[in-house]
Amino acid sequence: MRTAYDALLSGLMRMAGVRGALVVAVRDGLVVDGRVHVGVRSDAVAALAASLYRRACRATGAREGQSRFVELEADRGRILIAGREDLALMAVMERRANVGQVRLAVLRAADRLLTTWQE
Amino acid sequence: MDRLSLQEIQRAFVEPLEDFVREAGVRMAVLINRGGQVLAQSGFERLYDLVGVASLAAGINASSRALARQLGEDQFEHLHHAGEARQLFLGHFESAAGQLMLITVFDENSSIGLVRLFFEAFVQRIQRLPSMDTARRSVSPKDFESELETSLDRFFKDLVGG
Repeated sequence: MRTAYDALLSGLMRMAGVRGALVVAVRDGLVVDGRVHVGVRSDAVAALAASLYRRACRATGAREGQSRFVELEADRGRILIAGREDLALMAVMERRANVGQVRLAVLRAADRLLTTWQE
Repeated sequence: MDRLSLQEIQRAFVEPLEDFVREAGVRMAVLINRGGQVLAQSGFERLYDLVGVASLAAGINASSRALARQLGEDQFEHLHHAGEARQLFLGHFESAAGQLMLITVFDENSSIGLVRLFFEAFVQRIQRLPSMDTARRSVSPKDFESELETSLDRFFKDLVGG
């Protein structure tokens, strides 16, 4: 099923080392739309990363409407999360991915999340 | 194959349920069978709350089952009711002890995504337990209610050492 986020997610997935890109409803921890490589469990990534993201936002006192960014680093890769309001964009990356480039792309794409939803 | 007694079954469910509650970050959870027997509970401090949630959930289950049949389904796998502050999740699964129902209440410290994720893990863990058979398989509303009361009494006697 194609959604309004198609172009946004496909753009991220074209970047080297990106194994998954997801638009997630933060309060519910559920995938709104996503593209993942085989072996990436999108439901688990969405639920767990949204939980950490919510806690990080609460801990840092992020205000409503403010854009927020969280990076989770592990031995075999990273998850970048950026969002505003109740929608977040997540990118699952391998270690070899260019963090700087993907981070920039995630932040730019996250800025377009709400406007895409309203279009 | 060895069959376990109801009390052994209840003991076998305690740890998986405690783990589910901790991992999913839910406030409370109760596991009941189709006969209304409470097999495990976590987070309920008052008998009154447990009776209320279990009975209401049984009612929700009955009406949702009727609705599912209207739509050509035997039963909905999960039910989720979201409130402003609290949410309720009700999930069914088959096990060696027959069909079981997990009812859980959670707030902003968890999410439906997390609950579903750890519910799957919980079900897999329960399904790996040895063969079980519960004492009674009654499903009439009257039997359900009386079995629910009996098992709740037993639970809270254990809890307060009565």
